Amino acid sequence: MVLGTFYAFLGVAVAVLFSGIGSAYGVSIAGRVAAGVVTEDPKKFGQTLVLTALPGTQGIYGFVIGMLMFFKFSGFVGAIPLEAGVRFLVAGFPVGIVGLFSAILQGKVAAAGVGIVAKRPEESAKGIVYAGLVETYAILAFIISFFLYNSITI
Amino acid sequence: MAIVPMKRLELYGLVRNKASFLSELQRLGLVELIEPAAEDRRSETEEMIRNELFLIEEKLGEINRILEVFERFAPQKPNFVEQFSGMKTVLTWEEQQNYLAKKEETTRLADRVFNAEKEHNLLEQEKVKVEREISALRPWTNLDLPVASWSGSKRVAILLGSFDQNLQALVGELEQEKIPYYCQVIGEYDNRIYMVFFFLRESRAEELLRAKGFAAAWPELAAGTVGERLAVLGEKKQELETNLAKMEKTIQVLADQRPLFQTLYDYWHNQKIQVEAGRQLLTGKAVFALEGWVAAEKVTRVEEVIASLKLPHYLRFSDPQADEEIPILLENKKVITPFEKLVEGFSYPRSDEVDPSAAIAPFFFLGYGMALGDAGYGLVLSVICLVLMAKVPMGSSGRKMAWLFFISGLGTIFFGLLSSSIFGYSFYPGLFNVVEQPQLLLVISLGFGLVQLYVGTMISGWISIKNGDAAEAIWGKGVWLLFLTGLLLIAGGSQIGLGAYATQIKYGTLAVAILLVIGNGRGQKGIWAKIKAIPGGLMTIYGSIGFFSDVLSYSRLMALGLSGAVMGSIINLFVEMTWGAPIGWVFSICIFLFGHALNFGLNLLGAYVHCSRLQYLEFFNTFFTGGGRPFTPLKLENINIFLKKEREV
Repeated sequence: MVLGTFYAFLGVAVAVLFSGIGSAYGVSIAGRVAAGVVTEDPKKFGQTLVLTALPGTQGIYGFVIGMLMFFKFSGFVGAIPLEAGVRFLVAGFPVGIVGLFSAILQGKVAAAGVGIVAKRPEESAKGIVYAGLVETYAILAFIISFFLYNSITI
Repeated sequence: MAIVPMKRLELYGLVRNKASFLSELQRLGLVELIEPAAEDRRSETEEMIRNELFLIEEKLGEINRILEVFERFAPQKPNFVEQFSGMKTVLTWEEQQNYLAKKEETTRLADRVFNAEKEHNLLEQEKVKVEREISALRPWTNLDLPVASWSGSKRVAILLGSFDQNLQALVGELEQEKIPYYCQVIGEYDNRIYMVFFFLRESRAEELLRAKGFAAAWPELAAGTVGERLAVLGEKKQELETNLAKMEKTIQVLADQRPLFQTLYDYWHNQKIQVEAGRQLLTGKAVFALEGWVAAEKVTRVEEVIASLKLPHYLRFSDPQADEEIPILLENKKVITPFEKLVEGFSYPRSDEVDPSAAIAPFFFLGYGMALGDAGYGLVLSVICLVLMAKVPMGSSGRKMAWLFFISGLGTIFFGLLSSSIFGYSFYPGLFNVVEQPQLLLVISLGFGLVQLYVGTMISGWISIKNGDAAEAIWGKGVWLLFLTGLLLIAGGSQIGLGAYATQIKYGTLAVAILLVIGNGRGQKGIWAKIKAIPGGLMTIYGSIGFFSDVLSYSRLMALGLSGAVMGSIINLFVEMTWGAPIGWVFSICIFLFGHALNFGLNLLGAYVHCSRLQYLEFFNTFFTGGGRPFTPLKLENINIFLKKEREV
């Protein structure tokens, strides 16, 4: 495999891999707490589900970037030049790395938000907003990854 | 933008009519009672209230126990929607009254429920006992030696027991020492071999066996063989099971009376609220006094209803005093009302603030549209909300939420049609394409944010003018906006054809900045104080960084819209890929439905979270703090039931 192609593939992997790991971790943190609340009060399933799903978006952002990159170089015949390959790799970093950490941390905030659902269900919207605050940085990383990707021409 | 003006209400009546007044006020649900100062309260009233509450709590506890029994034997199964909205029994007003009329019969019913439950518990205990015996005897099923002969004969001893290893390991030593024995394996159970040993009484066999780890055991048995006993127990168990099933059926039939008990629970719950409200009354020997808040426009209604009781009373309304904390009730035009929900989610405005509901309405509408960004999704969202409102019993709060999402759905349809995106497909050339022109989308998002924050600053100025501080509006807000505009023109003026005026703009902005610094010194007495205000003025200029970072925060609208759109087009790509294959259309349809449902769900949530955040952090930052106390009138609350049509009060 030509090095350029390798880097391009690696870029896709970085974007999808890290953000996906982060989201899985984050959702599991929130999900465990949510399951505990539901054992006490099964009626809270809906409200806790919303909080549990929140850290899942990082994985989606990573997947979107990965897919876009893949579409871009899959249309290209022949080996990918080194320059373009490295660009793909770098473009994958923001959404991958920030996604990894922000999803885990967002999962922790969401788990605390599940506590709001348990004790003061009428205030649960606030828990959702808190968890949303963490996601800001994943969004910023997604935007940058997207524009980096958008600037690549092969 | 309206905070409802409030009036103070004072009501005096006779103590013996206290309950009638309170119950009428509760039914009306328009008056919030004011807690009297602690020293005004009288201990004997508190004592009476406590006794009354005790009786009510007892009733509530009993009904709750009955409902728990029902829930145990005939659990209510919430459907998908009810898992989110909670479950309530829907009743008409007549049904509710019918149930309440049956209040006296319930003691008998309650006894039947409790007796049935008690019997069920006893049967269950019995069953556990039988099962325990069965499981203890089961390893010995094949032992056909009756219990009478377990003690052995004069010379031969019998030993029952189990061993967890190979049989050879156990008897090896016996054979070595040439001790005569006979061993019969009865069965294997749970990795242990159960067996019976026969040997001479004087031999050392038992000692040797025990040393090897043989666990002697004597199954508990009164008479006969193990097999006989097991047969009896099996029959007994079956009988118990049929009885248990019968009992369960009885309780399940009784559970049909659930609405009755739910209605009664809510009745007593409301009685409790009413009695507790008695604490907010000043009670003398013959007369009680009550103070409360009521919306100014409802004053006549309250007067009429109280008068219709035809009880001696004195009612007076007055304007609130300046230093009082007035409870906040929001009232807006019908289109704006759903957006109150967002304000409530943040904090109620203080009485000296404005209600921001109307200000956030258009921005939330458009922002949500951009973030979700697909006409198909918007349509689905709006239709779901309409269906929910038609089918699910919802209180005013749930209804507001449903309207909020309905309106947001319309915003999404609007934006989706503009950018020509319907379930990720583009059927006609729209104004622009989100995936192909993401830069344009970013510019639109930031422009949108700029407009919203400018509007917020203007509202802030308007509030200052309303509060009689026109100087703050001009110096603080007007000049500030001019300065920000100047900065924007310096950065982007050449893009919109103002390149020729670059120098003028630069000096203009500088002049405005100086004005801003000077403006900070207004109101300070003496030259020295004015000079001291200058560093503060420079800080205001620094504040422009905060302002523009708030604007940048709106880029999230672009990110959400873009990721949703890309995700949608990826799903559609998969759909097209599978379409060509044999019976691929089945998979295509599945992928389409499942994929878009997932994308819809996640984006719906994301758009809500991030659009709320933009209102709370970025927009409210410009003019709104909140911290008001919501208006909480004494009213009827139903926990278990939902009245289809509230009776006209």
